Amino acid sequence: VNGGVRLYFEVHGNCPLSVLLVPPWAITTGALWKMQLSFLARHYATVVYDPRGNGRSDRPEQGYAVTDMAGDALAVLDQLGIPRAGLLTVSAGMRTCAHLAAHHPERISGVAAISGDYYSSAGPSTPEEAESRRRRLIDHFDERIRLFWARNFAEPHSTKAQDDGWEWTHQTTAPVLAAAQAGLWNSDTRVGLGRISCPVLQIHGLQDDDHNQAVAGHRRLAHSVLATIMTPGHLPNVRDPVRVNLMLRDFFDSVDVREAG
Amino acid sequence: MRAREPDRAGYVVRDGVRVYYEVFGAGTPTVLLMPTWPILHSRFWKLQVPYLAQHYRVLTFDPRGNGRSDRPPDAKAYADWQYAEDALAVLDETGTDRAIVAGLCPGVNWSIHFVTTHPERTLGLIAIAPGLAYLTPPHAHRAGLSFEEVRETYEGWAKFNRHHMREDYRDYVEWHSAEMFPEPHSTKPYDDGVEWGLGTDARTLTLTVEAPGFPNNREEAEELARRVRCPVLIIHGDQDRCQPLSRAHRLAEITGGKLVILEGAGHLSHVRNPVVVNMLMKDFVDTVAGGQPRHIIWERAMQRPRRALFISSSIGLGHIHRDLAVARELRALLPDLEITWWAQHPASVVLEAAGERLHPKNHLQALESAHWEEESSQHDLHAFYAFRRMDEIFLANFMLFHDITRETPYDIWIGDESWEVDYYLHENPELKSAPYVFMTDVIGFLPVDAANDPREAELTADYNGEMIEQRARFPYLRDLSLYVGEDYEELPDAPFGPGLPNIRAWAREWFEPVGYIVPFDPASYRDTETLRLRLGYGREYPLVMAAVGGTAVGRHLLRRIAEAVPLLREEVPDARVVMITGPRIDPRELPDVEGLEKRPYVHNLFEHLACADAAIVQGGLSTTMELVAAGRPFAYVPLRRHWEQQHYVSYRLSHYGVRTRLDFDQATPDRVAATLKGLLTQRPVYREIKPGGARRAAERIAALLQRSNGQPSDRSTGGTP
Repeated sequence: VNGGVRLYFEVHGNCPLSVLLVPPWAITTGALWKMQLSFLARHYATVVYDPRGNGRSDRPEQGYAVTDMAGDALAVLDQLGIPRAGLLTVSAGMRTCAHLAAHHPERISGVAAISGDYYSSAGPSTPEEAESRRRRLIDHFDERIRLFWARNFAEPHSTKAQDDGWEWTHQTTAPVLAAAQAGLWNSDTRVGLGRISCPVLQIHGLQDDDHNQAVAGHRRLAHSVLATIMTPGHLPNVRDPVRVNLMLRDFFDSVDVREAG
Repeated sequence: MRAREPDRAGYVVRDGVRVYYEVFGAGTPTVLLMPTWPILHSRFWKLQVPYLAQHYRVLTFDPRGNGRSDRPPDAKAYADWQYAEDALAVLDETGTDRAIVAGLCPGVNWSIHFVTTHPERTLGLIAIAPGLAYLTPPHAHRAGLSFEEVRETYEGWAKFNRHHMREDYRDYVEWHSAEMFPEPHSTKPYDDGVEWGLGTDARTLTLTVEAPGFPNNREEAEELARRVRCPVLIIHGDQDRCQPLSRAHRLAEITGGKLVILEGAGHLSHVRNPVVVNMLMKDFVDTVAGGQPRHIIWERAMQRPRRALFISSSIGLGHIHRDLAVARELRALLPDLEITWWAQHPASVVLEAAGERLHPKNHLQALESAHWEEESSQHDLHAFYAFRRMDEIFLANFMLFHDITRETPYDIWIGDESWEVDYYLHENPELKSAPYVFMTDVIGFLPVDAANDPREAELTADYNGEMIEQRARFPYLRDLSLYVGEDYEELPDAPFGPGLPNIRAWAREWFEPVGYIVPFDPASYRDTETLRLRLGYGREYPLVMAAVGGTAVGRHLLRRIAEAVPLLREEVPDARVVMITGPRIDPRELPDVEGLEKRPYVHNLFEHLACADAAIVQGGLSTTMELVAAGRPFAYVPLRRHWEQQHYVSYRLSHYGVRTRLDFDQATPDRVAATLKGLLTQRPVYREIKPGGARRAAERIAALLQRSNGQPSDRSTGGTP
């Protein structure tokens, strides 16, 4: 529980190194990790939780700032008594992870981000535009969500992934999602990049809108590996899970060895 | 030739003892490869250095007592901590802040001394066959044997005895080297071990045994291991006759290190199983050092273009034109296929001239042609021994091949006599990640001097035996084995060695023939007059071509031919000789003679050969067969003691009706001149080379990339794929 918001988590596997799967935002549940979970759990104590606003976690009507999300991750680690963990995230979840790595370095051994972004590159420029986009999301919820997942799973033959995404988002409501989206528009974690000292792996699709954010981050981070995937998609952890899983294991193993040293 | 020469070398001196070190590469971090017991010296890392140096900076040094380091006459100079302090001196001398330290056997003890006394200079520890005495009991076959006891006879590990070493040091060294390599087919590592062992003597090794050491009991050994604070990788062969596996287990328990057990491997597992050990070492270094920004690119499988990697491993220019012919046919069948070439100088020159795509890391390969030139003298090249001494070059190039095929996934690997790829894939079959085609015109080794060199006969049989066993055990490793020849009658009718199959019979079972591949259609070169005009030679004089292939090995033959030119012109005054020296011989090295024109390189040499009135060439297969195809009269001079030219090429040429073979000893300028004069009046009749070899090879290769049964269109027979 963080600030009265109940968060649902699960622990898979029983290994010395913990990996926390940080959800991006209320657009999805922890089911987003279904292609990673069984694999990672064989190698690490893997903790997955539903974000505030979706799945089996509470759905507050506000409180979606990056500090709220970071607090959720810490609350899960505290509840489980995990002093230090590797983080895995996708997309906007990078902001939560960047915040944690910059402000709580003693808790974070490394960050792996898939198509991570540090700020909203296509957020509204005026309050009026924000309001009209909020209304559009609420009034045309199904259509917006279908489009959202079609854009994220742009690889050919992605029908299953697109259907999954549609279901994940429909476990929450349009007003909650709109509130969470507004929180994202207001978060920008670029400032803290220079403070991050742990290893960071960024896996990013080349054609993704925010690939330039990954490249910029790669240049500023102290210990960074950038893996570019030639794909039109945003979430290769779902559509290219084998290669992504192998990259993740390489990364977390190296973090593990560094910790041991 | 070494696969990798040091970028810097020198000596550090401590207490008057000079220790020789070498530095390779400029990457980060630094990996310090510690010496081991001075029965060996730093070259025992020769299969690791080239690979690691491509990624990191590598330091080695010879142990006090062997190699180019001093052999101090005092036992105290060989104390365990002396080697650790030598390591520190080498780090200081080379300006190395910190290193990953790798050791083997006592080298692990010394490495542990180093990492525990200088933790601030340490990034990690790699312990191969840890020789930390007393940590666990020794092997049963070593227990209770005394180094000091005088015995009637000395057998097995009882040979590790000061009296036996003094009385018969060579026997001790040979026994020791054999004991290091329980893996079959270890003749080359064994020979290396003996050679390095003979680099020191019984007295020096005895001093190392008398030297003060630490630990001296189990408690001390445990205490020493407990002081290790850095990341640890431990590698141990379960057939190690020197150190018990229990020491590796115990060291892993105490240090929390990662233990890798190599089943079937002996004490020097990094020598006999270099691919897996190199990969383990690299993984460890990467995870420990991490941190450097790196950029990885991966492409979704379905959006990749079809890519082939063509490994043209010929030494010199032997096969490059036939490979280009196969590539042309492949493109005709699969127009979308991208072909990338993995080939060395001078073949790369031909590929560039032909506008082909070379792999950007081609130039990182250890140069095979340079090795062969260094091995040859006076038209004499003991090709088998030279091949055998290429072990470290082959391994270095295989590791590079492995890296580049991991970086870029190819749809197919096509290897023309890609010996290093073929051998190490069979040694590491789990590394095959694409369909693999192997093609060759030569199958097996035959001794060139069995009567006077029984060891050569043994060794060629051992190499052939290993190949036969590898094929039988992993038949699926090659998706195609193509024999570049029409007929197995072109191969020697001889066994691979005592008790081994007949070469022809085995080839029939394991290869499929595609016919001989000539890089041109002989029919289009029948009109020699037009050809001569086109190439700028003119028609009105007898034209003699002389060529020795792409390496500099043929230099001595060219000199004799140059000396023969004036003699030939006494008899045939208007004769002119055009000499193609090849890309690796400078024409200025050869005398200037009236009637002789020297050219370093011509594109499409076969066109020039095809319009000659006579030719004289070295015994390389491609050039001689091109002359057969063009129907030109020629003499060939095989390299002395070159198994392929002496046996395989000669068999094949006589099969096609070529009669004029000159041995280098007989090839005096007089004889060369007389032979050429005779050839100028000849009209030879050769057996016909059937066209379409390149097409047949390409059809079989293309079939692996398409959904079709791929049976060649114009033939129904074939070997076992």
